[in-house]
Amino acid sequence: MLSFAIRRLLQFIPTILGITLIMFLLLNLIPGNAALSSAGKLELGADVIEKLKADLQLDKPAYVRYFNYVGRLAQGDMGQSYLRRYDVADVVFDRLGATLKLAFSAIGIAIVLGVPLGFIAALKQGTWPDTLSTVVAVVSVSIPQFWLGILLMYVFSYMMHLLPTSGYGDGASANLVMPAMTLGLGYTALLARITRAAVVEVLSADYIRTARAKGLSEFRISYRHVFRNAFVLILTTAGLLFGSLIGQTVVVERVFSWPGIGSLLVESIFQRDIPVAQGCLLVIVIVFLIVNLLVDILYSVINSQIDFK
Amino acid sequence: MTMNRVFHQKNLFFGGLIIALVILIAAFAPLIAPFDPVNDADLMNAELPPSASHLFGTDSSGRDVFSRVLYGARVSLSVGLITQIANTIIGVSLGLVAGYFGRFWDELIMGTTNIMLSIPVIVFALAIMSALGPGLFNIYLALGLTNWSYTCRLTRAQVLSVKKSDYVNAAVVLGYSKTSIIFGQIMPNVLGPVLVIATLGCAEAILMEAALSFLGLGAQPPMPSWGGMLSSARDLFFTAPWLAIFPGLAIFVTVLGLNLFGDGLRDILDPRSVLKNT
Amino acid sequence: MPEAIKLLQVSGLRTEFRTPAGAVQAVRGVSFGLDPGETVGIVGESGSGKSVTALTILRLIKSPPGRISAGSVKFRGIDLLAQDDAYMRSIRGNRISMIFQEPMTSLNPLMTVGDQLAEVMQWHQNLSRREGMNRAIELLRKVQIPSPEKRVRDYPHHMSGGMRQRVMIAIALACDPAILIADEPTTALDVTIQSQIMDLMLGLKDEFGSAVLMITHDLGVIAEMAQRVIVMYAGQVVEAGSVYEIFDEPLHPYTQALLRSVPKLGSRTEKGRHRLQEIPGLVASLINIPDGCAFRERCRFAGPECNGAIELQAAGDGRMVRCIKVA
Repeated sequence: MLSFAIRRLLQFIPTILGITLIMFLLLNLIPGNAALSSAGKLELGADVIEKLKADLQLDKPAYVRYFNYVGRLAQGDMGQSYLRRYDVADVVFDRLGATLKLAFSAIGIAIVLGVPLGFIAALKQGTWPDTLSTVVAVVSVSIPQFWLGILLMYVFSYMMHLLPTSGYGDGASANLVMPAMTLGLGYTALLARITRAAVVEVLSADYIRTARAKGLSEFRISYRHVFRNAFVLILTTAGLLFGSLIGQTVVVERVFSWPGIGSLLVESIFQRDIPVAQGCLLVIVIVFLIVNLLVDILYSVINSQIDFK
Repeated sequence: MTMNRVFHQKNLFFGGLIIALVILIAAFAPLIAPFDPVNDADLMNAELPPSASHLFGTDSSGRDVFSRVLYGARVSLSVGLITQIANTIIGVSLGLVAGYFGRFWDELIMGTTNIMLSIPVIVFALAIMSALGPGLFNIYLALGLTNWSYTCRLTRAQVLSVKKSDYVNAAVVLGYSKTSIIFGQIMPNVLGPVLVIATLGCAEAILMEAALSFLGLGAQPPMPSWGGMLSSARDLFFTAPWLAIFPGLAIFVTVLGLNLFGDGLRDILDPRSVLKNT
Repeated sequence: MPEAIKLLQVSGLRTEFRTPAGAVQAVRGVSFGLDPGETVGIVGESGSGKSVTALTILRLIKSPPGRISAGSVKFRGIDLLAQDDAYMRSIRGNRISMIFQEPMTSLNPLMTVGDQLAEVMQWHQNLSRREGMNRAIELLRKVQIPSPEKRVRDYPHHMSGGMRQRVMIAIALACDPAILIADEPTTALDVTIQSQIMDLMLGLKDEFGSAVLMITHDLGVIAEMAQRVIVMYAGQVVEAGSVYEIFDEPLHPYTQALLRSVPKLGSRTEKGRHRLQEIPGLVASLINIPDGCAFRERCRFAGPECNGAIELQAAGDGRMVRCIKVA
């Protein structure tokens, strides 16, 4: 079990290296050198540009710069902001908390609503709750999330005056409700579909027939036999979902002026503050990878009893 | 089961209908639109609610929102089309190379594909946008160069299965060129699934473009794009909600059409998934 | 005899499945009885309705698309088809239990075999988990699983198909049922394992004293275990009698054909002496079945008189046959 976790962690390394390589290429090798041209556009003083050149070590070959970059990253150094005198790592991790709070609230909503809905749809196949969930799923993957956010804001803040329109509100939960809902509702429908498919698959399994032949009640069959087995199936797909959810936080944060990494990323892209933008992207990707790793490990913990390859 | 078949064909039908409508609107926007989407600005008539002369109202510069929504179809469809053509060409080519040459090329391409799959597409697109800066052309690049992993995997798998098949070996024994047989066989096999991926990818790209434009990274004003319109409506929608409602609705309906069409197509091409979803 | 209340009396049982092509009539008026401690075999090809009959007795038919449309299943005089679900649950796994054909997939992969065994006793006999586990060890020993104290903690994937089927048998016998229904219990297993499982079942049957309904297409299994045989074809009973009668003097042309299609009994080691004969044609479709004998298309004795309705008729002491040519 432990060896699996370690092996899985080791697989993490080439992925991270590949991602840093792509980041590095984007940062350094784009025609006209994005970093410098953006610095030029910002009309920075000559001393800053000199410092930049020194930081970027433009006189050295690309692979040396790449290894230096990775080396600094390994020490937690993401460089300095072009615009302000701060370390990228500090400000990015400062914003990480708000993003994680939003993302986990959203996935929480999706799980709390989506899994039971999917369960009901599967147990009542072909009836109206089932049909409804099919329709809602198609609609929810087609609806632009930021638009949904705006509509929610219009209804709950402007018309009903129930919730604050935007901002972090010093962590007040009222401020969290709408962003988390906006982000979570689409995934609720997706998770409901995934759950339904998983439960339908489990229900048709031979061991469920065995459980019925034992004379167990449908309730006991559901919680002792169906749920655990369906959960393993749900978990694998849920990990993938979380990835796209993390990506969507960028947009939702913008809608609700949520002070997370996404807002910082968009700001820094506008200001062409490339080290900050790259830092944000790298942290988002790493969070995503860590979540997938955790899902994998959780999956294998459950699976270690069944099939441990 | 029969009921379901009908239902899925309905998906294909309604999806196709919506797509056809959007294409017609994009093609004939100059004929349908009552106003010029960019130049008919009239600050005296800014932020008018919907009326007979301005069906969807006017925006903060007094431009006709209805006309702008009609023209916005052009931006969205161009994004969908261009990015999916690019993704498909890249995905199929790399898949063919990986599957046909194997070894080093396979390792390299599949390794890259796996890394690409491990990063959410929007994050990848944002990375490219952060390097290149805002603009519609950069959106084409960001979305056209990043979302080919599934097509690549699929093509590679197809090449491998054709490569191994008996009839290819038999044809080689008979003296036919292995290459021409493999490529002759793969294209028809790959076509259907690739079309499904491209249709659903088109929906995804349009949503993504709208999101990026909403963030201010896409088509720059005054170009009429749905996401861009929503972006400028962001601070006005309490007082002028029509500015946010109609462009959003346009995105939603277009994407819904593509998703329905793609789902319907997949169910027809792969009847097992019909059964699986019942 | 017929006046006495049977342990199990199935009468006029009909089960159908709705499909897009029409209603599949899987079981068409099946009747038979079962006495305490007796072993009855039901034989027939795939699609003859034998498995559906078994599932119908325990009302394990999935509905929809399945539906039990007529008949009764009287267990000690009480019609199970007329009882509510709670009553039915008190019967399943407790008074009547069942073993399935697929040992590899019939156990829950995420529960230990001990838990799956204990579960049925916890449920029906209100045992605690600990008591259930102790009984589970005992039962695993009875089905001859080595070092049962360790094996109770195993998950199904740790076990071979034969072992899993032993566990299934243990689960079925856990509550000391009056009737054990075994649906092709050895079909999915290797030949050597098959005979071990058969021997085990023979031994346990004596120990537990349950009546057994053995469903199989394997006449060898029937010959080894059953006292009486019911031959099914196209959802109907075509012949019934004692195992000796059926094997020595089959009356129905289908039974005769069935016997010709397997190595002759007792000459298993001398295979090849008789040329085996397959039954020509395909099993009759169960949709829109016309009147008359369902076997007539494949029967070498068939004539125009076989197109009329044909009833199951008595043919001597306790024997029944559904053929106008022999009755």
